[in-house]
Amino acid sequence: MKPTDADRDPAFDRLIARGLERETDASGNACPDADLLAAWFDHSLSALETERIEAHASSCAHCQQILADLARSEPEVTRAAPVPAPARPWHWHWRWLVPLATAAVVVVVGTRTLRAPGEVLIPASSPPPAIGGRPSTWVELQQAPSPTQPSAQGAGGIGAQAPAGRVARNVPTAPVDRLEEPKREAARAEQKAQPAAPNADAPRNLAAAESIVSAVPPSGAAPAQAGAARKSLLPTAAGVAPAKADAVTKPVAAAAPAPPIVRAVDERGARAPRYVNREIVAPLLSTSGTGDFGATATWRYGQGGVVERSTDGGQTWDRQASGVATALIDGSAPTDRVCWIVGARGVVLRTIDGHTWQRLTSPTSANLVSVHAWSDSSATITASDRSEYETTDGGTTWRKR
Amino acid sequence: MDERLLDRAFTRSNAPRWNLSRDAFARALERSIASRFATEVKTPAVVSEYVDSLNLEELALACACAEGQVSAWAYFIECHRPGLRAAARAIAGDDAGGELADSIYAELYGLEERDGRRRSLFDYFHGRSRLSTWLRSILAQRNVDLVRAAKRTRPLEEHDEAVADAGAAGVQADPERARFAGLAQQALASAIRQLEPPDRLRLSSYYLQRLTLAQIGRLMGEHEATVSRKLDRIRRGLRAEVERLLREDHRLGRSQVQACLDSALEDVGMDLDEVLGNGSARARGWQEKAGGSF
Repeated sequence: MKPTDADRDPAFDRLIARGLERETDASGNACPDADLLAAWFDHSLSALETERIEAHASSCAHCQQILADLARSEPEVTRAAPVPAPARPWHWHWRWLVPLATAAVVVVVGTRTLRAPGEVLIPASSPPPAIGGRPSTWVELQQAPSPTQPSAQGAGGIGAQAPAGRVARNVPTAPVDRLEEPKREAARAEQKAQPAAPNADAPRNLAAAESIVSAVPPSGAAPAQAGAARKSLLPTAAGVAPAKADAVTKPVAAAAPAPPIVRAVDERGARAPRYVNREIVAPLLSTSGTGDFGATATWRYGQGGVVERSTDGGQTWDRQASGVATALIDGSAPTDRVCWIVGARGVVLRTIDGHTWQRLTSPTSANLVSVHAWSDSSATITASDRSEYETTDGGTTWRKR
Repeated sequence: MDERLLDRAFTRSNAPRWNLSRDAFARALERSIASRFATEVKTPAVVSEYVDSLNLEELALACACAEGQVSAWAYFIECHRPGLRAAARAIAGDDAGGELADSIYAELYGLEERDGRRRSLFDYFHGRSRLSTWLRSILAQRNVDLVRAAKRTRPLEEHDEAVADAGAAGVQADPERARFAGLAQQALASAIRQLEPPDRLRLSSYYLQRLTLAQIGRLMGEHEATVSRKLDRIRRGLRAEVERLLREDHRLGRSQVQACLDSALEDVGMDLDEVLGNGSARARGWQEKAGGSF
């Protein structure tokens, strides 16, 4: 049973993560000191020392955390939300090389040998016109705009990422230059810190907004939609005055529904309780409603069928009755009132008013690992056995894809 | 230490800029050499090579700060303070970052005395990395210690107990499912243990620490595209190995292998370890990003 592209599913990713966690030692014993870890990070250790550090750190939660913090705080590396590896494997590029090369040979040979003066010869064996198109249904699905999973952006993963940080080496430089380097770094850090100065609360809020915005699918989703989501989130998160928020959100209301965004919970877990699996933020579509719908809605859900909703950017959460007790795994919120959530044992939940949850008929009893919803009536769900089902009538009927 | 080697290092370090004495610099260099060759045999040639590889200027700066040289401190504050604060914010968040950065200044200066001499944190900088990296490493270490200390005192939440009950009930209800889940977890653990340390570090950085590909690339000294390809390869290898172990060691068929994986996934949602407080932000981390795939 050789693994294929189709074997790549989120469920196995979850198992890997849990397996890694179980196999990682959290005791923090016999760890290398800060000097050695820093030297490893700067790639200035001997080969033997490097091997030792890697052997230890690969199974030590304490050291992994320190190294991760070093990477996060590296001035040269742009901070961004976790971006997945590409859904489109590299061998797809190579597969296209064969027909491309064949076509090129045919064209060259054909034009040299068969072409009459003024005649253009089109080879019958030329490859499909969409050379850069998606090569298979599976890849197509992975690359489709994903409302709840920014990490499913496929090949956009690499291309859309910030440029790789400079890999610093311990290369001897002129004395003056090396001493001046911290000054330059300091200047860069100062420059970064400048805009945050006026408002004491702004830095955190802006950082939160930035983390949300950075989770917007980098490619695949329409740029205009991503932009709309960006506009709808930033004012709320940064605490901009309501009048300003209105001004920003009006054009958004007229635009097509923006894809919801998965919000990364703080790395330290300070924001969400342990039972929460995930948070999703619905884009602000309208400010004309009453009550709490004047703000972007955020849902979070997780173990034991817990569903909670926030309309103040995550400051306060209201527990909502989901009617189920199984683990909820994925969600998708096309608007601030409509949200779909799926979970273990075929559970499909939906709310169309932002408050009341309804359990829908499920086409399968398998664990559901993914849902993409486009409206209150249209959604696609994926089971752990990789089967996909689509509904266009609010879950009354499902069609296997 | 060889005098000629010391002279060469002292000249290269530009130590006189900070009014640092040759003896003080020699002591710092001795500490660095002792730290490096604590468990290895040192020959003059190897020591010379090691000294030449050090960041001697920054070692001199750290040494001068430890000695309390005003000019060195002024330079350190001017050059490293903003970077230190920015790094602390990146590590501990905007609220706690400033406090974290400020907290290490006392240690850097050295408030405790030993043998009539202030014991500065700078004494532990051996010039093997950039000073800025070492400072960030100290910050990260302090922060991890704080987080771990806080975790030890965090009370269980009411809801967690309810979920624990639900989870326990679910596990007891279906022994076959529990057996399948156990087999899958066992196979996965075995496959993970077989990974080469760098591969396991890449995987942990991605799934547990939630680093970006660029950040992992920075860690491993690779381009992010290389990281992406390697992660893909590792993941495929893991899956193949898990399925092989289930098939060959436990004589399971294709559908049973899938059932094992499904059962294990179901357990992820009701893992008692996590519910009872051993779960961490890392556990939550993968759950949030688990919607993605390579």
